[in-house]
Amino acid sequence: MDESGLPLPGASIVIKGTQNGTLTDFDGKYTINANVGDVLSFSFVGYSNHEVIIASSTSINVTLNYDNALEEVVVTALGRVKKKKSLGFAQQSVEGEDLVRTNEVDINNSLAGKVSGVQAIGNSGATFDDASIRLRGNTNVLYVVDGIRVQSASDINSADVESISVLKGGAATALYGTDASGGVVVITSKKARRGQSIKLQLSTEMANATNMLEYQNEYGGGYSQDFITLPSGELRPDYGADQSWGPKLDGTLVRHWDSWIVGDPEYGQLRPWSANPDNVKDFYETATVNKAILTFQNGGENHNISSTIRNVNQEGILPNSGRKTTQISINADFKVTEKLSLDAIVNYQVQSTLNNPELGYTGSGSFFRPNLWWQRQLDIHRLKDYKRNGQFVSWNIQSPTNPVPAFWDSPYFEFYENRNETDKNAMFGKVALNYEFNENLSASIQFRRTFSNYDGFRLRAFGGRGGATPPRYDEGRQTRIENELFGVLNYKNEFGADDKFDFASTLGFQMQDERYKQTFAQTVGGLTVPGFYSIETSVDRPTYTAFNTTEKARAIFGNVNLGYDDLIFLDATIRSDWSSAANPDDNRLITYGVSTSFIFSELFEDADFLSFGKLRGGISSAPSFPGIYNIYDTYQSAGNYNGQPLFGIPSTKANPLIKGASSKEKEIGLEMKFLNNKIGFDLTYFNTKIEDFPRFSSLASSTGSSNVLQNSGKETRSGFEATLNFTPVKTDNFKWTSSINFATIKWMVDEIDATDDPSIPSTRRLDRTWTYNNSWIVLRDVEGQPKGNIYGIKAQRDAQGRIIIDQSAGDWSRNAIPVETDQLIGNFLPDVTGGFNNVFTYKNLTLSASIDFQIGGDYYSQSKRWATGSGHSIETVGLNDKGNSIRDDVASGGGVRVDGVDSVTGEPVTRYFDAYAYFDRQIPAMAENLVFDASYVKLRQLSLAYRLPSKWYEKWGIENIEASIFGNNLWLIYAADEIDPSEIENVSGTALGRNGNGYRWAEGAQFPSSRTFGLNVSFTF
Amino acid sequence: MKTRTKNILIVIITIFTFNSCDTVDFGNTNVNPNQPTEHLTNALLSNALFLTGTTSTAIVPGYYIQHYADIQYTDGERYGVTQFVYSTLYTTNLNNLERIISLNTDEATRDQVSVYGSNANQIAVAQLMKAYTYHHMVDRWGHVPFTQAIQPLEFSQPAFDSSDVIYDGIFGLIDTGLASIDSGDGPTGDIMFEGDMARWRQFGNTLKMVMALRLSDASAEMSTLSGIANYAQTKFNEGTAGAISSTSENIEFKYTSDDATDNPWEDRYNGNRAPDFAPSNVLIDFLQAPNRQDPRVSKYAAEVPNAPGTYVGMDNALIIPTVDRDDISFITADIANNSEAPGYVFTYAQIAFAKAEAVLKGWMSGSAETFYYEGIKASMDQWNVSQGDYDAYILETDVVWNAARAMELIAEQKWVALYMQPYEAWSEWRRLDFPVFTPHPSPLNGSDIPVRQGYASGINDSNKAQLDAAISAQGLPTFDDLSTKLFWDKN
Repeated sequence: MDESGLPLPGASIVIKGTQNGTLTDFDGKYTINANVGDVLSFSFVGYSNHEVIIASSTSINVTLNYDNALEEVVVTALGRVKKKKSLGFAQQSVEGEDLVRTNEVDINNSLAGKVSGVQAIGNSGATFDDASIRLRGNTNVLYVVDGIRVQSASDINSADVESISVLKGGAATALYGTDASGGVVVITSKKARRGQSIKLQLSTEMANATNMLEYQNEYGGGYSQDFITLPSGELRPDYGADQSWGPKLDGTLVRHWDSWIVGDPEYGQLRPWSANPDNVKDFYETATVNKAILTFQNGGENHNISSTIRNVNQEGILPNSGRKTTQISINADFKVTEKLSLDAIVNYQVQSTLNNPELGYTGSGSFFRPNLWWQRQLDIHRLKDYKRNGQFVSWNIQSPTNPVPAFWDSPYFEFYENRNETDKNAMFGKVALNYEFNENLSASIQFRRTFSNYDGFRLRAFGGRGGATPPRYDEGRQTRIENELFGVLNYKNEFGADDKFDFASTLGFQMQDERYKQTFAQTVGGLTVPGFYSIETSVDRPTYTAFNTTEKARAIFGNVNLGYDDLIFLDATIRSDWSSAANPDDNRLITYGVSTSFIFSELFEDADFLSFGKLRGGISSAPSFPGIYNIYDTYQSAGNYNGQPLFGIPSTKANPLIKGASSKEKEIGLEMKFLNNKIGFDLTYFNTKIEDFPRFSSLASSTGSSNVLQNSGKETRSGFEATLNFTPVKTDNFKWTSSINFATIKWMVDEIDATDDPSIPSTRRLDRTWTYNNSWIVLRDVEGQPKGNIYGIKAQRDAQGRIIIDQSAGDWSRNAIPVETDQLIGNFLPDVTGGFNNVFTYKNLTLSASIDFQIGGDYYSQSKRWATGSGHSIETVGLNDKGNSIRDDVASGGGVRVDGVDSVTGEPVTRYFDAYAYFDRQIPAMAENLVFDASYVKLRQLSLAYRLPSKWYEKWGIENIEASIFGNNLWLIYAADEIDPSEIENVSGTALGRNGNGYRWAEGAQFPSSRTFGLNVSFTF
Repeated sequence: MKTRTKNILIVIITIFTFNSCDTVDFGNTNVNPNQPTEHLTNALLSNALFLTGTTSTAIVPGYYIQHYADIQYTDGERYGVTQFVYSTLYTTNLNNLERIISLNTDEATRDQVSVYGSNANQIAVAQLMKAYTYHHMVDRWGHVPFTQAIQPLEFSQPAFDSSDVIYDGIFGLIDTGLASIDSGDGPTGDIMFEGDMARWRQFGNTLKMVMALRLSDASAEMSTLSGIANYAQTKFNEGTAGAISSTSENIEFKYTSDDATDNPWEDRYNGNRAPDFAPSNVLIDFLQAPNRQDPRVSKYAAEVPNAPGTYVGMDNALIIPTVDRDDISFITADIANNSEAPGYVFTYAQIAFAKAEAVLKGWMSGSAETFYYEGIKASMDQWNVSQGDYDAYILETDVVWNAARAMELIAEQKWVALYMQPYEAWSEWRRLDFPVFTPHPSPLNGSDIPVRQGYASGINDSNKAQLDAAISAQGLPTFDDLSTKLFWDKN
């Protein structure tokens, strides 16, 4: 059996010094006739040999240790299996077993902290959005499963993953061409081994909200600390306010919002004005996630079939939200004749999602945002009952006589009435015909197809805001289909003296067609049939948009591999790509990848200290083509006026000359292992230069266009990646393996535009977001600066760094603390990322812990902007240096103290600002206050797995039972603020929705994270 | 040996294939099927004409001149916004208009697009609309790109022209537009006048009068710049004959009942939040002053729900209002709840008051008093006030003609009549500096009522050097300054 206790079929057992031997069967069992005192030698490819002297026992069980030093094989480009030691480029693997223990659904989450240079960047756990990864700073990573380029990592069934191989650099990915310029995650799915097996895995998880902001509980809702006195003499708060600058929560008896609902038991009642500290926490629910995975495998002489069915039933931590996913995969290969074989793979996914919340600041219009618009004292439990006496009720009524909410319905109305649902169908698969002409020459032709369809609707319900907001219904469909025809001719041979030269070559072609269709329809002006949601019942002409695209690509490639005596390896690739999106007169790019490795430890075979040593290096280039439809001028619809069409000219200017460009990369690496592989490291340095890539440049709008796609600019990305593996303890029963990895990234913008004209801008805006009217925060590339600097407003300071205060301007005026615009206040990219992973194995018990971290980088917190500006968060209460509440009147000793110098005299001055004015205006006016360090350390996963002794259950025909308890997203050990910097939601700074640009530099007042605990049991029959 | 031959063969095949095709022909794969390439000058025009509606239904300048006030969040009346984005005026409005002109001029396309109206008339309307658009822009931002705008091949970084140069240029555009009108068909995409070129002639001349009057204090500089004597007077008088001459000729943008193209006020009052706008107490109190008792109050404002028959303006000097929406007047339901309420682009009331002022300035003959009453009457007609109410109103002490304070009366009446024409009202107030308003006591920016609107920071990302030059040319303390007067705004 192997280290995890699984049987190793086909291991060889030989009586030392003889030719007598046998192989283990599918269950890892063997029988051999030997004499006491004989030495049995056990061996298996990829595992270190083990020798046992036969005593008297008739049964000898041996555990072979997986030996990743010498004969580790890995999957590289085009799914080719290579000896790890031969690689001339950085590559790291994650085994499918690592995913099993925590039953992780998201491939990207499972890579977190495991691979140097790969950073998992997730979304808030309250949403159902997938995590993504940043690989050497890139987010456009290609995922390939068994040779099929999948559209989204979420299409992959992680239960079906045998191994994940991360190819980071150009030399590793050269065979993939265009889509691979950001790195490739190559996934190999499970294949059946000889024999048959059935495996059932069940898990259940509980998720809770975590990393919530800390709220204050001293003041309630309102804009002023005075209650409003009713004609009856009773007091009431300002219901219409959606901030918490109101009266002190001192238990005063007041008329709460629900005391105006005629016929309700609360009608006319007075209740104390007091805190409900857990009102936000109690809104989030404990969500249950159930997963079931069933795997069938059957392998024989001429066939291997493996099928996995997974069902995931997920509740969200937001009320009335959930997702159900069923995935089925079939992976089969069989020999048709001795020379002809056929592989077929199909993966199918059906998924339905209820109420995935809208992201971003503007999304808050439809969903509960307690950091933004809320009253601290509200009793969330009273809001649950949002329909009373046939009327929708809300806390945010305009006045006792006007129950129409000023802004907000009950948060439960939002989730139960304003529903959204999305159904997803996704498929990917291939059919491959392989023919072996002889032992040297083989060919394969493959047809691959991926397909995904999303079909969703959203509704703004009848009765919203007491019926004052017209209902609305929209529905949309998106379908993406990619077809690929792929063929290769492979030739391999050995030659030279003692066949010391290994030669392998490949010649191939690839044809890809991609089609995308999108339709979207939305009602206008309300709906005509109460309670019925459809496009047909739109009051006015509904809006309808359709968007269809086609993109085609062609490529041919060749590759040569040469090895000499396991000492020196050379790998060379050349590839030519053509794209339909480029200028038709210039639509080809030729790229290459050459890498070599030198196993210098082979020269010191006697050195006990050095177990393995390899020096590697490579140069490469990677192609990048422009996006579609940037070449020809068109007109763009802008709607309709009484039947008369409205058209405009697209604000993106066409560029008939746009073409592709190639990056240039150098990479060197050193890999060494010592003390019989107990300690090892792998060090990589890479340097990538990008020049004349198709990039959008801002144009002066006064030219008539806002931007244009141009071949322009130069950038350099470089970094070190290091992995250190060690095995501090290794005895027969106990083993501790530890691995630490880290990576640096330095990404410089060397040039924006080639022209030397000083009037041409040397900056490029990537994104922007706002704090309020006067303050934009811009993510921008600037010549000579690191990529993705964050620019915003800073307070003016004197030579000694003291803030300047204008005593003539009021507390609310932005002139009170004069500012400087467009100042550098951060950068979105981290300096260092990494992980620290430990596995402790004691007999059948395995404890593993995974920590990941980031040093450097910054993000903008819209949550903090509004949680302070609206008076909800803890910073907005407390005492000033005079011992008075900062919320007290400045005249009576309250206020927030700010020290600085007088703008006129330059003399030191202390000023007390009205707290509301300070937090709502002065803080956000200086964006520097809202940009936080994104450094963090997080205990992401902890799992304890136990393999139950087989004697307990083998009589039931069960081969193996394993159980594990685990936790995900457990503990944010360090972060500058409450928000988890590894979960900055993917929103564009200015736009609604989940279609962010991947920079993840500004969150839009996002939901909290979720923490999961689970129990996982698997049975193998 | 055999192996080597094979290897060589593979290398040869590879080299051959790699050099065989330099490009692959993908046919029309990359032609966007979602967007037409057909030149739709009608649709480009309709889209560009929408601006006349958006300017007349804007809110922000209405806060400045205290027509409106906020009910809950008071950023508007406290000058919270300093940066105003002009990009879509170029990328949508002016770009469309320039394209209409070039398509109707270019030999290759002019016949093709003539199905949407005679080439000359399409050009005429486009030139007049360009004039309107630039005029709107100069009066907000001051210097903007003009002579180098929308010429991407020649000018990738268009320079900002001096405001006075642009004013002179706009008169040129109007003249070109008016001269281009021929007897052929009007443009089919004309959603303002349905291709009636006589109305466009009125539009051009009315715009001319409005612009000329705005130059009343800057006429001398304009004469120096252009060499035309008595610049403002000259331009004014060029326009008088052809301009609108009665309320029935008011130039309006017609909103439709369709929610996508309806009156924006209706959406503001019937959207997904409680209405945050109301007539300000300054306006309502002015109308209801004992010596005025203006009948238009019931046309401008809705009755207070909790006190039917009364009108209460929203206090516009608050930081944190806690008013019950049922205790104040909203904007009249004829606008707030009427999808088809028009946007007032130019009204005869403003033209009549312009003439009254021109008489006082000696620009034209006639009676200032007559034009003054004609202006009031035009406004009353516009708002459907009865003759009886009008007759009573003009006898009120603070309304009746008083030669001693003639300019003040004209300014007051113009301010009242330009309700729902906020940009015009703000510009005229800047020029006349009357009525006198108290700035908000706790402004978010500056200390006074804005007299210009700031540039948007986005220009720094694409045209910074030219913007910096324009800022220094105008002596602005910051790019988003609100306090530096435009060239025509004296004293």
